[in-house]
Amino acid sequence: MFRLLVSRILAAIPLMLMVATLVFFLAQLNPVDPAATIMGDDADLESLAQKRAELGIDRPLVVQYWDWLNSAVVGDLGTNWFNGEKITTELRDRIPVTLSMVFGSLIVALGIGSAFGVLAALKAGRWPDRTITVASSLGLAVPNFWIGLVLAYYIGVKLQWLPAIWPTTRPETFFAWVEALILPCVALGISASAAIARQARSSMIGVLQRDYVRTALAKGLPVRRVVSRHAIRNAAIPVVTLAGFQTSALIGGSIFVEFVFNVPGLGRFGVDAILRQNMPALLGFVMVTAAVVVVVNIVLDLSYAWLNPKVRPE
Amino acid sequence: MRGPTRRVMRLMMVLAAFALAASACGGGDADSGSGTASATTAASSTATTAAATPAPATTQAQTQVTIAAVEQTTTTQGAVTTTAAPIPPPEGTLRMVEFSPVTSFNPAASQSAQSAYHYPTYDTLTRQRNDLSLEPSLATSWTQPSPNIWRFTVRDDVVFHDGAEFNAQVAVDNMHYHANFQGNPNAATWAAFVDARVVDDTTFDVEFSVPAPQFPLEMSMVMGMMISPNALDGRDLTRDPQGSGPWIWSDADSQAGVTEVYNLNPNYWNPADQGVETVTVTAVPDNNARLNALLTGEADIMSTTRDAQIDAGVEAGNVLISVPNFFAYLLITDRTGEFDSPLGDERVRRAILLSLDRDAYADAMHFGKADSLGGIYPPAFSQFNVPELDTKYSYDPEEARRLLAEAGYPDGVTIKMPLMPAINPIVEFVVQMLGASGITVEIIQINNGELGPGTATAQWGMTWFRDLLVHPARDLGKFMGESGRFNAFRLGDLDDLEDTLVDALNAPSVEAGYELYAEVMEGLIDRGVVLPLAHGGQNALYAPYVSGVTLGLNMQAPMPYGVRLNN
Repeated sequence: MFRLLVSRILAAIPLMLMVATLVFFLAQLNPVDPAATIMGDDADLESLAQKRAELGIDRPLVVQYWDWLNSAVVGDLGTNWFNGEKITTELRDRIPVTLSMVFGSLIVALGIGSAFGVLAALKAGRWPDRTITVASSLGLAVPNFWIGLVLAYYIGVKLQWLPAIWPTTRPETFFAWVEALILPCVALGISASAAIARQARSSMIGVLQRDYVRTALAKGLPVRRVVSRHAIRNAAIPVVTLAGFQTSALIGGSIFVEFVFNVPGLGRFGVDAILRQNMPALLGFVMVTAAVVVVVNIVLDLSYAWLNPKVRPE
Repeated sequence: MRGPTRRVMRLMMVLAAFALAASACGGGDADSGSGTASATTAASSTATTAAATPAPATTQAQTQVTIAAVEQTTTTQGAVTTTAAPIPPPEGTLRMVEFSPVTSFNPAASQSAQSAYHYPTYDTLTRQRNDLSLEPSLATSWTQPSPNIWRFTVRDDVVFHDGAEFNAQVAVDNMHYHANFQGNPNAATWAAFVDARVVDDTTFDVEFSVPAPQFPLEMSMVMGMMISPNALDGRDLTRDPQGSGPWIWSDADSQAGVTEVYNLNPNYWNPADQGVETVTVTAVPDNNARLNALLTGEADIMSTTRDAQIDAGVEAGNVLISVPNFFAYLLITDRTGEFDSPLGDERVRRAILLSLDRDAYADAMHFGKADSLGGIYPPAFSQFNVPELDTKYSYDPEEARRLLAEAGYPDGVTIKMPLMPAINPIVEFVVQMLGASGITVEIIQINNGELGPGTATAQWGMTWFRDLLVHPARDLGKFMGESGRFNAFRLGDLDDLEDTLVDALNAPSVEAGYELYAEVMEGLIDRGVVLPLAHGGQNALYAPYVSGVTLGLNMQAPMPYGVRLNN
């Protein structure tokens, strides 16, 4: 297991380097001039040239990239061109917010998806199954930012049950923090829950047809007990696998949901960096996102190895 | 809330609390902020007010913009602190939501659009009142000894946050700092700056190469913000504001790109400005989210309110404050046809003007919240509004087609226009309007931020543009003359108008120069340089329990001075 962990970590290093290189050079295709964005319409050409020189974007691309890489390997991801803050400081403040949201939405997805998936399997072919299947198709089709807008308006603004927007002053208490995250987590978790519901349904139907389940039922055990004690555990393995993949998708989806609810996380940071060609912020965002995905995949690999000894390396 | 629903909500909360417990411990700062309970209360009271009485929409009627206002204020010495009534202590936290995060706390490196982040912590030489006239701030009076020189008298009791004292020498150093700051987005303000000189400890002169009647007004904006003398030596002020304002920026409480927090300055020279203990300015880029913040009581003031959002905000009991200086128009810089040959013919430019259905534009683009008059300054700018121009040219596609045929284009013309994502629907609408008269538009796709620089460097001959009107010296001068930024093709066809504008600026008063200003504006429209589309407003909404809100020219958010929360 240790060897597996080390090999995955070592493999991640060139991967991260490749991601950074690709992003840096691909981002150059974005013709937005960050100096023009900073200076506004009233700036004259001389001021723009001065700002470009100040940002260092008048230098050759290779030089810019080499400088960034040299600093990045010692943990300095540079300074935000648009507010002068250290990128590492901004990431430090934002990572917990996004991870909380992703984690919360994963719980929402697993809770809703598993419950409805199991229910659909138990009522396979009957109206609850059909209803859940249609609902899960809708859940997959509807974009999470739209769900976010609807939730913010009806639950947040109209009914005022939960905050429609992240507090404009930092959440004072843990409860306020959790309360502010509920709607974003639900908006983000709905799509994932649809995918999990489908997976849980098919997995559960398969398990319910296995001999040991039939035997247990034949022995007179109540259905509830058979399902909760025996079937769910075995049906959960592919669901857990899917949940691991969904984590990466949720990080991507958080970009839009964070905008809708003004959540000060990585997603908003990343979109802002892309739109304004804020290169240090963009690279910082990509590196962190890539790192999270890599970690999730490592955890996933380790969990496979733990669950199934056959996939462990020799 | 009904029983089952409440149970579902509780269940969700418990689930989420359980799920987030571990990670939230690492990211939840619990040392600041006002909490959700108060926000909910505010929201409830807002809703109640909305149900009881629809809140009025208070639109600032701008009557005195510049010279007349300045003349009025020159006699108002020391008016700011002269008050007999006891000043109530500051209370609460004023929460403002802004369109974008702050780029720099250095006023010399900032656009006016970002001034919401600067006003709490910097003082300006002058200030705008709600009627957009000027009142003293750090400067107690200002006079014009000669047309090209402004003389300011400043306070002698002002101390910067770092302990440095303010005086005429500091003001002069600030003038030089702003004027010479490399990469100043407001370089146009300082283009004609010649020198600043100390007269005595509390008096200084600022000299320009041409008359600058708008300068005291500009000293109420970011260009007039005074920086501590200790920070004028090239220190990086990007995240280190060094002002003398009513509140002191808190690095510890702020989060870059998210929220900036300002705490009370205990040594401020005018405690009447300090209606609240703390000011927070939060960046909320999404328009819906910004309105939601106000509607749910999470914010007290919402800046940059879109026209389409006004009704929803006002119907919910909030108050609208609007400065009617947003001016949308088509700008034709290529009047010799160098880039687009048809534009060299004045009849084609007139045809374009007659193809603009301003009523439809105001309805579609401003949701009926703009006027469709045909002049440059709307009636709210009484000093510069020319009623004859408002109705001189009306939508007339038939006449437009006739003019095109007369100019030798019976089958219509093709003109190129830039389009960037931020103005996509606007340009598409203009394209449709022009198309009805046989004017085909060929789109030049550009990126956000490139419209101004591209127009200034003759990358196209005609474009949609918008200005926040302030004063003819600033608003009209840029189209003409050798140094005119938007005389992109360096043409001399407006030289006579430039002379007239200079004569107007040299006139002893705005009233005396009115006919000359009118002549310049009429010339710009008649010759097909500026083709008006609509006059809208810079809008902000604030909660009904907020008082003392002031919104001025060239600022997108109200100033926090004297604002109080009465909830």
